[in-house]
Amino acid sequence: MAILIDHTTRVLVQGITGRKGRTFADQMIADGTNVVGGVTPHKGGEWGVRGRPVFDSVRSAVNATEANTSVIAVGAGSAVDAIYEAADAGIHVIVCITDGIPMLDMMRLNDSLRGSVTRLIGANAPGIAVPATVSVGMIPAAITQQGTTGLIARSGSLLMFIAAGMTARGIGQSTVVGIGADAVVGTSFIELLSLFEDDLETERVVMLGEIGGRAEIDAAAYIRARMTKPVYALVVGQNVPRGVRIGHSGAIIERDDDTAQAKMSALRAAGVEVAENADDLYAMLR
Amino acid sequence: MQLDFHLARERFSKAGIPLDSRDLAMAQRDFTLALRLTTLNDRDTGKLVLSAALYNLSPHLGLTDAVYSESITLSVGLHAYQIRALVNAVNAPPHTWSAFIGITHQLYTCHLVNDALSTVLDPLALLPDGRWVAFGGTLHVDPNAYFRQPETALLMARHDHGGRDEIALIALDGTITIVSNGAGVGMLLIDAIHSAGGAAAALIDTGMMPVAETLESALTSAITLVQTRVILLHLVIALADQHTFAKVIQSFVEHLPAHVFCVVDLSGITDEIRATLEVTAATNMIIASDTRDAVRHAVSLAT
Repeated sequence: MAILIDHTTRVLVQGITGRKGRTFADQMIADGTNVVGGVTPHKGGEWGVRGRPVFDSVRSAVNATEANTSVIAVGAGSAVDAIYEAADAGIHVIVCITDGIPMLDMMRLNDSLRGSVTRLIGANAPGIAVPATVSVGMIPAAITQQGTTGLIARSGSLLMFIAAGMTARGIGQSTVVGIGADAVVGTSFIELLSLFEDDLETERVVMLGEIGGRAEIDAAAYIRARMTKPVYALVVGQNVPRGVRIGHSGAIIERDDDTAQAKMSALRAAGVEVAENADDLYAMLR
Repeated sequence: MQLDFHLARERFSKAGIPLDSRDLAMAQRDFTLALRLTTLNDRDTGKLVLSAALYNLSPHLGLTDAVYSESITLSVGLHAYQIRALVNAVNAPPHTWSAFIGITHQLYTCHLVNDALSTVLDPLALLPDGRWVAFGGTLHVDPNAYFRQPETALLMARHDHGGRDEIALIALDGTITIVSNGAGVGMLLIDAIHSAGGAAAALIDTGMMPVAETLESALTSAITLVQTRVILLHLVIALADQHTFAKVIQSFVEHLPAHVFCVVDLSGITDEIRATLEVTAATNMIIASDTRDAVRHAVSLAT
């Protein structure tokens, strides 16, 4: 067992004929993921990466392939429409890699998906990986290793850096999930902590946070109230000045709660082992 | 991105909220009620928050602690009862409610139409004749929505002298310029440099999957920053074409000014690529064994 995806996952890539779509599809297939096809409007009937069929719409792709998971690899202007299309076609897990989606669109999207069977990971997310089983998105299998630690991060690069560091030190993961670094994302830390709490293969969870927003502080409250499994955390941006937006649209200190220090304090108060840096985190996990 | 005053004024006017150009100090003598009316995308709740903060009118115009807000679910929209709750809370006289409801609806529409992150009417004042008049306003537009706000995008691109690029450069105040493919790792490096006694001059984020041109552009930007003493190049290159990146780095190092050092930390690099880079490494380039080693070298060289 893992969370969100497993060996039954059948993946579609929306935007499979574009540069990023091709790259992700190729890597996922190379890593053993069951990529059953792709979607690019007006290119239905063509053959995509490694002979995977291309469909005009998600509905026709689902009908033909029984896909249950989708990767969104289209431009920001089309991504929201692509997510609605996947949700309407009954896709259960949508990983949106696309960044630069307007905040109002994400807010509307979350309103619409609330209560539906579809779970959105992202936008601006690297994806989900169950080591040695399946990887949906852009997390290479080579940087992960089977184990019992659940790993969640907002930042894709930080997720990959820490996953690779854990793997190099023999610390395996049950599931690795990047939730996305935008200000508004589909699935929160809390929802994933809840899934990890119920997951039999996960014995502990590592949470990688960063400056901006209340996600880590809300997660701390949840951990204190509900989590029985040990949680470890690293929060980056401890030396970022106030008011400076660091790359991600969500990474900016505007209020006191946005600082790394406030988040680290809240997490410590909730019983979380908070690392000062990556080496400190690896030492805690050994 | 905050629109400049004239552009904001034009957007508010288009939404049916003309900003009054009278001198505020003179006009405020006539105010019977004044408030700051705001719309804001709340990232934590995923809702749009409409709020009103009340002003003291005497002896000077100053915001009080009284703030009233309503959260709007975008798929449902703004309802009249929410504005009525607000208008009740600020104690507006009943004969002015209709006008207040109108102006609030216009502000909400202005927010949506312009893909705003926030809008502010400040102050929005009630005059003795029962009219609500806005004397100032600001409008922050979401840069992610420029693709469907061409007019705003064009104006902001002029303002930014070139507009959005593939790379994101964040200026800080130290001497080590970080080039990384991801902001999360960039922040981790800023923290690590600080802990080791150094300070970052800038973070240049190439995005997760840079192509060769993006990396070239990032490195060129790094050497043009005058405060750069050391460039710390950190790439998680599991996804990248390592041979292409190695060529870019080799070419860059050949043109590296003598007074700038470059510390290279490539997570996931193959032994073959490492050997290639080591052969061409110049005297002012170091290939680190890992990230801790890279930070240690960078701080040591910068100081």
